[in-house]
Amino acid sequence: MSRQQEFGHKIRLYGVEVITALASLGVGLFLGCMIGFFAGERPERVVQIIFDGAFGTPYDIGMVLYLMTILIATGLAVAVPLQAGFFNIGGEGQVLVAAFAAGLIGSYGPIFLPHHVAVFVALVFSILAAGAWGALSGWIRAYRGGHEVISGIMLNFVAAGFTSWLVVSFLQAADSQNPELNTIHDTFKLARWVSFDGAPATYVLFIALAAVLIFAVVLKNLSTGYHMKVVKRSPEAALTAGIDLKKTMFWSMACGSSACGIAGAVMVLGESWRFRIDMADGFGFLGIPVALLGKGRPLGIVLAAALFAVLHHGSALLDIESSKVGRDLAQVIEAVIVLSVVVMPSIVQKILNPRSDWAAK
Amino acid sequence: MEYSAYLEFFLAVLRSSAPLVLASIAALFCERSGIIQIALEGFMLFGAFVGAVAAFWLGGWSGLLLAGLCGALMAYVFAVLVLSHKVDQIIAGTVINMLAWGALPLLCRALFDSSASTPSLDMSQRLSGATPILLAALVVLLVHTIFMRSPAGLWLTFAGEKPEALTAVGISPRSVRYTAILICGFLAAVSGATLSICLSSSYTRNMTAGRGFMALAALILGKWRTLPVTMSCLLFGFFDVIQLKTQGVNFPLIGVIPNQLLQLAPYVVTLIILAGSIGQSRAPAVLGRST
Repeated sequence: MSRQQEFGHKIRLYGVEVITALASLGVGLFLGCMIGFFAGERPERVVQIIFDGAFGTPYDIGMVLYLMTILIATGLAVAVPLQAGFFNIGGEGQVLVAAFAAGLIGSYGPIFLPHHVAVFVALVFSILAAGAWGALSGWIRAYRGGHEVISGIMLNFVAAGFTSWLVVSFLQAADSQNPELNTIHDTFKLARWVSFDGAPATYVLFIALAAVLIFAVVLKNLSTGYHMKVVKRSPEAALTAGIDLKKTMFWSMACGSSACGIAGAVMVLGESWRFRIDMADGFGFLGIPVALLGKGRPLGIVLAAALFAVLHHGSALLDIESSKVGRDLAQVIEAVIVLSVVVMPSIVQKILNPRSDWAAK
Repeated sequence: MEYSAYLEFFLAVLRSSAPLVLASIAALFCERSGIIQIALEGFMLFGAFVGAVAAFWLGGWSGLLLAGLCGALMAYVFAVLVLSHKVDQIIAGTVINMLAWGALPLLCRALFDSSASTPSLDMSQRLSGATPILLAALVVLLVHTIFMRSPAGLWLTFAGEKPEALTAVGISPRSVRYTAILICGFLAAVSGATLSICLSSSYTRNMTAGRGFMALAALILGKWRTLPVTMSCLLFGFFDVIQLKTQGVNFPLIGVIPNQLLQLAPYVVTLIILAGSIGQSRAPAVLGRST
């Protein structure tokens, strides 16, 4: 293949993916509007409210950027192991232990450190905590044969119960009625960007983007990325080629889930300034649709995270502005988008070539 | 404790484990045929909602039945995704769960103007707390017999262990799996409906609270076999009741047992089993890879 042909082939390949993603987005929004319509809310008003909710004021835009930071991180945590064919469903627990680590460092850690060093220390501990939590799943899968999805789900519950036990029994903040840790010291508090009326948009967004960049580089240019792809597509070939399957499994889970550390850290250091036990609040889980819509590609994850941040924050306004539908609409739209993304290739295939299915049987 | 207190405790254990038994038997069908089922939570939630709504309008038993049918419908969607469109089983399950978490509050709001709960059922619309226990006992006996004594049980097992062998004798693994998934959806939704019709008096937001995942844990602890799975559910029910009864009780030597830790017990036990230090639990051979 000449260079030009290769380029054309690539464009077509990406084109199909982009069209699938856009079409799925369309299906999701259309269905969302239809649900609004049947619930008695005018479709264009639903879209209008979500749009206003996400972009209406500088504060809202700041919130969208903040949510985007979180979703890029949790999406990355799903996308990295997915490259090697493993499914990280434990984002919820990983975010929670990361936030716990950040909260702990923030309230009991070294307060004499200058701001940037302090934040760096907290961030590193969060990332290590999340990575270790995910590595447990990876270890069970690689060396013990237990399915990573089941262990991930169990670890989510364990993280929730364990942190809430520690907080309630030993570390409860004295100045609060809610189960939470002390407020973190000032030196750990991230500066919020001033142009967003106090919304928790911080430079951690760039750290998350940098993580995506690292992912892209590893995937394209390092042998590790190649190993992951081989393990996914053909474990037998990987074995023959001398790739250590177990090591690849383990480290893809560990490195992937450590991205959740960024999410957990920004929640505590950037937004709430203390660890609450119900902190993860579905964001770890939301990484799954982000990664799936983004097709596990670096740029895809960023775009999908932006879209879901808009949907998530925009739909919060539905609770106030609409008497018919609430913020749960966002979750339905997200589910439908993911559904269309994963089903569309197969449906298109069946329409184009209706008999292929029978031939394969 | 005197005799009646023991009996009461025993009944409480049965009551809290009955929905779990139904749900994990549901998952047993699915997973024995080679399909990983993490949409259990979604099916249960759908069941709890539809059950409460149908019981409100038509009475308790129709509530259970309609919930089951609705669960089977959701399971059909899952089956089409997984078996006809070759969507990854985990992804399909996740999507069903997301739909349940998002769509039910919307539906509830559209029907009853409150996204938090359905209207409370009165005594004539509810079923007694003994119903789920009897249902669960019946289902366990039936399923045990199916797996031990009927060709259908063999088909299910072979669909999960060696589908080629099934094809060789002229039975399509695909139709076996379709049936298994539908039964799974039905049972799981009935299990959810017992929560809202028998054990409480309305559907409340996210009322299954992870029971679907706990049922999966019981399935692994019970090594995908009917009676051990039932025993694991009873064990988890026991943990649950202990945790309610010992809240704030000060034991000699141990002190107060923190109930967060007791709540964790099922999950920790499952993790230990998964990590394989107490007796390996072997999954059906093609679990998760079969379409």
